Amino acid sequence: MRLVNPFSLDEDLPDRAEGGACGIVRVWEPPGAAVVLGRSNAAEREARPEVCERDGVPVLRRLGGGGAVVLGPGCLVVSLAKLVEESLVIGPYMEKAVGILAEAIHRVAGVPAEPRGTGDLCVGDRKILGSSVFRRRRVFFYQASLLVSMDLVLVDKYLRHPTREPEYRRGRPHREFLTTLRAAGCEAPMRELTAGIELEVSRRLEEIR
Amino acid sequence: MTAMVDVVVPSLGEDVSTVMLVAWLVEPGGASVEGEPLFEVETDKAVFEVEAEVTGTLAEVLAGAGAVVPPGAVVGRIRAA
Repeated sequence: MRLVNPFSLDEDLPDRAEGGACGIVRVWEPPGAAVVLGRSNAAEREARPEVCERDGVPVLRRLGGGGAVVLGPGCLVVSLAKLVEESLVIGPYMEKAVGILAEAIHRVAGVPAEPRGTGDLCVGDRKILGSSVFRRRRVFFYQASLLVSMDLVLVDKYLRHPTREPEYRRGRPHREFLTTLRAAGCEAPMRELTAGIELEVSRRLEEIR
Repeated sequence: MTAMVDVVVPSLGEDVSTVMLVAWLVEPGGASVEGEPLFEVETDKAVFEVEAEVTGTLAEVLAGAGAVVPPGAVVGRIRAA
C-alpha cells in the first residue's frame, strides 16, 4: 500500500529525483476539494477565499507556475519528477510530457485530446488537462490535473476568472471552457484510468531526458 | 580586494522574453554558495530555481519579488569570497 498525503502535492518528488531515484510517477485522485494556486498567484485575485473558507475548502500553493485550479474527487493529479540533461530548458520537456499524457489518455480512456496553449490538452476547444512545471538545474518536476468526472460547478464556485488566459479561451467562463473525459464519452472506471495512465507514463518516462 | 559578480537572469529558451522574479532564496547580506539555489523566476507555466554561480555574500538586490525582467537582466550582485 502506498501512503501519500494527498495535499502534500507531491513536493517530495524533486528531492527524491535529485537524490538518485530513477524517475517517479504518481497518479492520484484527491479525496476532497481543494484550490491550488500557482506559485505566484494572489489568492484573492484568482480564487474566492471567503467561499473556500465557508465550505472548508483548503487553499494551497504548489511549487510550479501557472494558474489556479480546483482539485477534487473526479479529477486525477499526475506528478512526475525526472533527472534531465538540459539545465536551462522548460518548453521541450513540457511538450514531451504533455504528448506522452495525450497518448496515454487516448489509449486508456479512448478520448483523443490535442495540445492547445501552453501545456493544455483539449477535446475540441474545451480543456481537460492543465500543466505546471518546477525546475531545478537537473530536475524536471511536472504536474497536471486531468478532469475525469469532476463537478465543474465547483470551479466557478471557488475560482474567479483568471487574470491571464490562453488566446483560445476567448473569455469563456470556467463552465464553458472546461470539460471532462466523461462528457467526452469515456466510461472507464476511475481505478482503471488511474492505474492505466500511471503505467503508460511510467513506461515512457525514459523519453524525457 | 574582493570582486563583485553580477547575478544574471539566465536565458530559458527562445520563446521566453520576460520572466517574473518570484523570490530570493538568500537574504541580502546572506551567504551565496556556488551551485546552491539563489532565486526563483516564473515563466507562463513554470518556476525555475536559479543557482548561484559564485560563492560569497549577496551584496545587492536590484530587482525584488514581482519584478518582470528579461533574460540577461542583472538582478543582484555577489561579493565573491
